[in-house]
Amino acid sequence: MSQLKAGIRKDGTELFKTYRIYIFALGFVLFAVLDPVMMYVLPKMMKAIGMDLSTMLGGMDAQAIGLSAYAGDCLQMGMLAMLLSMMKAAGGDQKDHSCVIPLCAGYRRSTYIYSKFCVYPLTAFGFGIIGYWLVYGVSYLLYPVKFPLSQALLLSLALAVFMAFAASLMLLIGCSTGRAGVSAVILFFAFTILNMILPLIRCDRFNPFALPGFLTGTMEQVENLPSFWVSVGAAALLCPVFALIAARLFQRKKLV
Amino acid sequence: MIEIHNLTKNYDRRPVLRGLNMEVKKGEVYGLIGRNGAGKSTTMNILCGLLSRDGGTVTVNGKDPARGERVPVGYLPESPALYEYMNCYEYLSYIAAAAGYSGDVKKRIAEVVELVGLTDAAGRKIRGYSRGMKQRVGMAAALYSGQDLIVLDEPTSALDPQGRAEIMSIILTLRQMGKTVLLSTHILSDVERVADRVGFLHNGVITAESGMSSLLETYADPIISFSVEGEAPGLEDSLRALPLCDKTARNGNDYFVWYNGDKIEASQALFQFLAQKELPVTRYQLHRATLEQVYLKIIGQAAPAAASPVTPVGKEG
Repeated sequence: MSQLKAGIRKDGTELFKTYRIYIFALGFVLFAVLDPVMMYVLPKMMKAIGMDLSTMLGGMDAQAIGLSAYAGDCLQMGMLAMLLSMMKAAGGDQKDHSCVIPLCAGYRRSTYIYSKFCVYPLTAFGFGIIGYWLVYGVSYLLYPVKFPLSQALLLSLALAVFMAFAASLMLLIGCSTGRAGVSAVILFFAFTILNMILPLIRCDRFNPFALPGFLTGTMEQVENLPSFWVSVGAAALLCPVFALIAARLFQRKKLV
Repeated sequence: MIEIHNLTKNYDRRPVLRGLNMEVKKGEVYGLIGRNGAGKSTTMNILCGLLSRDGGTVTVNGKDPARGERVPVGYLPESPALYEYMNCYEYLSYIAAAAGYSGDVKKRIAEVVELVGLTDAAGRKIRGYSRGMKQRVGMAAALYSGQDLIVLDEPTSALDPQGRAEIMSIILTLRQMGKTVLLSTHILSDVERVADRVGFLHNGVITAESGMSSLLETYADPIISFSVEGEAPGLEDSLRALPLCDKTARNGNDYFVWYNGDKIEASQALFQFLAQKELPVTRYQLHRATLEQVYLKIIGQAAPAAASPVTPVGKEG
């Protein structure tokens, strides 16, 4: 237990002292402020030059526009910032061999992996919640047509769980391959492509990859509750499963 | 403490270790000597459980690292990668927790930091340390948890003479403390100063293994070394033809002659020979061979063509 605590403290410290937490935060928080403001101002600017975006956006005064725009950016740029800031933890420490001395000193390999899974997916989860409620607050002030609080609650949970799921998957692939950069790029494109392909082949329900659909509003918000809860549950359940698999794979991995 | 039998390891079908056998006893400083690429680091990585082996058996304190029975080892890699955002105290505290150290952590850190001579700099971030200081932090981490086995992979290869001397004095302190140290290096004067026993690793096997003193007695025949000014074409061949000469080696304008018989007679004969050749001799020395010369002799016997700048040439061919 003391090893796990030390690992969590070290990974947490690393996030702050290497300033990766700010990259992490930037991806989630920056768009939470920019997107609702942009979506509020843009139609007015366009209208001033004679272009009407109201039909395209389906009601310019709805808070949902700001929330949906944020979710889209967060799932793209926020995800990219998160994956990049996790590169050192997800295999980068194997590449530069900084894990060698602690592991030789007696640090259990499984614990070494579990501490990462405690820090990074939880940080992603936390920032997901913070980002979503920040955008909710900003857009609440700007738009007259309010978004239901109960739905925002569910969607913030969906964003947070999906980001934790993505962070766990990054750790699984990065730690077991030792190739952080390649893992980040592959995952980013995989998420982007899957988000486009799965709805087309009608695989956008009852799995973790259905969550972006709820967030960006391509599915009628959270009307399909069974699919929502199954998707959230599956994503949440897969995080510790990924941790177990990563620990198992790391156990016999060559480190030099 | 360490027992290795018939250890084999290939990298992409290229054999690096070809049936390595060696044994390191508890409480001794063992110097593993070999050229770059000889397999020293590979051996150490297998010992520490960082690398899998292809064949043979390896036990550390009776446990096999490949079976997950990892024995905690104080390991200093050639270029220790540290968490550079931490200071020395923070790093060692982390290693303490990683190693499950149960004693007084602060006291132990102070002891180890003093041992490696970093007390003044320990509060600064590792990022700002010189290479030698990072090496000492790595050394402190290897020593911290009080493991009985310390594995040091080329600990002095990138250090200046002062840094090397400091690391060597730490190793001597470890020997006094009764620690078992496995030290790999290609700086042979370092090994000569600290090792109890040495093993020459060449072409994936130990070609010679012995206690330091008996090794020097066995292999380090007395030699004459001398230097000449300018080029002396054919001198080496002529030296080899001398009846007093057993073996020669050359490094630029420096010549080494392993002789037989009485040292005075051999010295006089050689001096006479050089005088006849009218060669301007700038240095002439009669002494026992150093470990470096022993190494060159042994490796030269094992593979004459591969023995780098100095090419030992024996009469026996």
